[in-house]
Amino acid sequence: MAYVSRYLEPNLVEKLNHLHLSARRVVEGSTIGQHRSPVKGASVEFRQHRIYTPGDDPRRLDWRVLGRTNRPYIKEYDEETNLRCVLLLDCSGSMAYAGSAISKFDYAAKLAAALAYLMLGQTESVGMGCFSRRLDAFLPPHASTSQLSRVVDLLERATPRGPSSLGDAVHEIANRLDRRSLVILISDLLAPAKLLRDGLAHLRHDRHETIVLRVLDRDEETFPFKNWSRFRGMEGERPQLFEPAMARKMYLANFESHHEQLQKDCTAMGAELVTFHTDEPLIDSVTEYLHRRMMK
Amino acid sequence: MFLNPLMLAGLGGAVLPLVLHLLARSRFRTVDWAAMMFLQAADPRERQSTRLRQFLLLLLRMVLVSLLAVALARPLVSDSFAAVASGGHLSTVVIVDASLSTSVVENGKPRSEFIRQSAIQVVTSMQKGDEVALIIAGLPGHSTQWTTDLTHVADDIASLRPAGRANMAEALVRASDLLNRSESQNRRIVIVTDRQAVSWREVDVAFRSAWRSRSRPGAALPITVAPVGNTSADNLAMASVSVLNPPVVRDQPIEIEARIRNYGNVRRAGVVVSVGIGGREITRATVDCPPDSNVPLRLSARLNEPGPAVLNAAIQMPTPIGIASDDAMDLSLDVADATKVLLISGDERAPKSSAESFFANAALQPAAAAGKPGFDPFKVTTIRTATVTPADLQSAQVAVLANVDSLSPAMATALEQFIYDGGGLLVAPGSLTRVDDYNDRLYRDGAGFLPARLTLPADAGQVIGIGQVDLAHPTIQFLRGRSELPAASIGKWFRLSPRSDARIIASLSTGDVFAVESTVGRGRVMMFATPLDADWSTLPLTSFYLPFLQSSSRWLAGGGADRNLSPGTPIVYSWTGSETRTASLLTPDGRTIALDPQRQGERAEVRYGQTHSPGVYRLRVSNSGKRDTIVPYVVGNPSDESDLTPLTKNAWSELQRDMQLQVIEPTGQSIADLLAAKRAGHEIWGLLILAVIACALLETWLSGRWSSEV
Repeated sequence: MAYVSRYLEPNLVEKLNHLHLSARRVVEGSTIGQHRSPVKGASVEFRQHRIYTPGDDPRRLDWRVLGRTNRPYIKEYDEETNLRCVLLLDCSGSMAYAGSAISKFDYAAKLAAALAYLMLGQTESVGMGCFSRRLDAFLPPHASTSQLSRVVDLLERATPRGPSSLGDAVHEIANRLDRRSLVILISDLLAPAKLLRDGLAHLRHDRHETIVLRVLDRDEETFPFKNWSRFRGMEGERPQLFEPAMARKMYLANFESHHEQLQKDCTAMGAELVTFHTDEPLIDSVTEYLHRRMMK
Repeated sequence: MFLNPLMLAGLGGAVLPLVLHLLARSRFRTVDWAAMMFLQAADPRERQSTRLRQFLLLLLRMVLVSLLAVALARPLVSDSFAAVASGGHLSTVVIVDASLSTSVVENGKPRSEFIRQSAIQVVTSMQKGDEVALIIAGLPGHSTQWTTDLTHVADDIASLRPAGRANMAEALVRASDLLNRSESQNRRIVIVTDRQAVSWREVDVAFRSAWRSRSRPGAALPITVAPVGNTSADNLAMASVSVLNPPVVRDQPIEIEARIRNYGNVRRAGVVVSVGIGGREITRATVDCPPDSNVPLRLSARLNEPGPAVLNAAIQMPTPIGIASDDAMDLSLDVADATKVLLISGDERAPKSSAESFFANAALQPAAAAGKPGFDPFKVTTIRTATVTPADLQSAQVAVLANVDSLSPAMATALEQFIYDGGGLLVAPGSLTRVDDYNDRLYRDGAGFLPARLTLPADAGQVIGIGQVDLAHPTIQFLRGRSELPAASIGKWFRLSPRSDARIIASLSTGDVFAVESTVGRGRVMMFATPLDADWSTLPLTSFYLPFLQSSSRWLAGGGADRNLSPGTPIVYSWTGSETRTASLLTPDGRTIALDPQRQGERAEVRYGQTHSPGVYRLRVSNSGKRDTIVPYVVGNPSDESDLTPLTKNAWSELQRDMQLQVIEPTGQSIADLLAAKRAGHEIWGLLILAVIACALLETWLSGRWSSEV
């Protein structure tokens, strides 16, 4: 459990527990009007009762239980719980960068753990993959309560290193998923936009839904360096000596251009691109994001 | 050329940006960076451009430091092609103010010392091959010429002593003439002076206009003025000293008037003025001098040593105020044993008490006339008209024509010469006087020596008196303070028609002239309308007669060569006779100069013109076998120099505008450096500083633009 608390801080857990959000509703928020819900038309084999939470379809209320206990429960069936979510975490060397805050990897791992906790808490199936040059580890989706421990264990074992092969990893995960799933890609996306576009196209072709969560350090957006510096690539790129003031304009232009391309590609592939900054509290960023999703 | 070449060492600082650049490069820090993909320029030309910008910024910073170093070195840019054309040699006229006003002590040293130092700096800072001419303002008589011996000129300047009055207009004209004779194309005038306004008085509007017209269009002579000293005008000076009742006769009271001028704006109370002769004080008095005042002070004295003397009047102050040398003033005078009067009488009839000589003797030598012992201020020699000769005039100071009928032509000529040489003549016509002879020989329609034309006397048929007197005339001053005019009854008189330059001393109640005076040569002539005896009037019987005749005779004897000269006025001493005399002159600075007598017939004279230095000049005339005669001449201080009032700012501005002169106020930098700067051209450090600022702004803008906003 020590691992769990490392990734799921008590404050975050408390916050997530009080969100009273439907993970399914969150996911639907991203798909309504675009695709069929992955749970629509499923067979009905009763599994359990669950307390009603805002966002649940009122038609699914168990009126008998409501009448007896005066408490709102809804019936859940096995086929309804097969929301399969795969968290795809970037473990390349670039994720190890830490400016004035925690590293992007640590932030991304906590974000992954939080999402896993949220969804597992509502009995959804959650899987996870870690990739750098290739898909290094893969945890198939499962809805058991012990899945969180496995997710955390996987996070614990993951180390950011080596070059990134975002496109290959996405293709590989798409090939591994035999059922429609929700793929949440957590990465800094420091790779050519075309690779991501190809991967997203593959996922879309296999009818998977995709959310892209981009984790960035603030330095990467502002390039605040002043003195002469030798920039050494974290994924094995050739070091370069720069007077930052002279390179800033070029850097920012390239960054902006790349980001716009990512945004464009995600939109084209029906994926949502959301950026998280490591200097912003994870709790705030996650809750704000989830609320924003709910409002859609 | 650079005024501060040491600062050029700062050019080494130009490599500072490069060093910092390299240092920064070598002391870089290593950053493990994730987003390397954005540091790779998509376009290789972009990378080239970035390097070019870096290089340009580096270059700009190096230029900035270099410009700053050059600006601090104060570079000069030549603005005169003439300097190049003339091989760079310079012709400079240095005008040094050596006037009396520069003797003011300032900070424990006379101002003239500062002026000399500055002028020497100007000369010694010149380069080999430069020529210089020195004009000493205050010593107008000195000669000057171009020389390249700068050391000699510097020595001349070092030996200058304050004297005389500076006349900048005269000095500028001389400088202009000198420069016009110079072959150099690179010319200038440098004036080192105090701030006294008087020095520039003659540089008036007319002079400035003439100066501009003398200058070639667009090539006005560059004039640089270096004023030295402060602007204080405080000065207490002896403005004048004179004897009010000349001539000075031994043991006779004289009245001395000393005028004290307070130029300052502070009241000076209890100013002691002493008068002395030969270092011995004979009288003193105290006077209060209000601010900006000219206070007359009268002192009485008696001198008992006959002969030439120098009277000295001095302000006695513990510490001189302003100029020290104008606190005293000398006056050369003769103390006569007794005034020698030659009475030429035309009416020596019996009884003697009816003759003119009787009344004149009684008035001029009362003791002798009365047969009593005592000193008479006059010694009268009476000669009849028929027996008088020109030789009789040689020993006389005053001649009196008393009822003389007529003079021979020779006597008339001798008398005229006598007056021209400084003798006095009193004409008292009477019943014997031949009016036509007087008018024809002595008046000559105003060309003679008589002050008025005579008209035949006529009985008025009435008794009249003296109606009006000129109390300002020295001969009438004894009447000051009296309310009544002399109560004389005049029954007959000559009508006198004065010349235009004659001065009427007294008039009759009818308006006719009673006494008239004119100056002829160095002498004086007075003419009465009545004789000296009591035939036509009761004047000899009144209390008016004696003092009037004595003061008239004294006044007439007071003519002659004035030995109190203004600076530059030549000393002239003449004598008549065939004997050989030698003369030498002792100047105020202690030099003895032998003078060669110039002879013309019976007359001989010695002359000395270099009297620009104030002080006492003592002429020694030696006559073989006789005692040497020492005649003192006093050359007074130029009174203008006592006025230390400085030029106003407006006056300086006008001079700068009209004469295109440049004023160099004393600063921490020596005048030599400032002039050297002017010689080489004008400074451009201001321009360079602007360039530095422009570079700095450009660098800031470019680095901001090229590095983009954070």
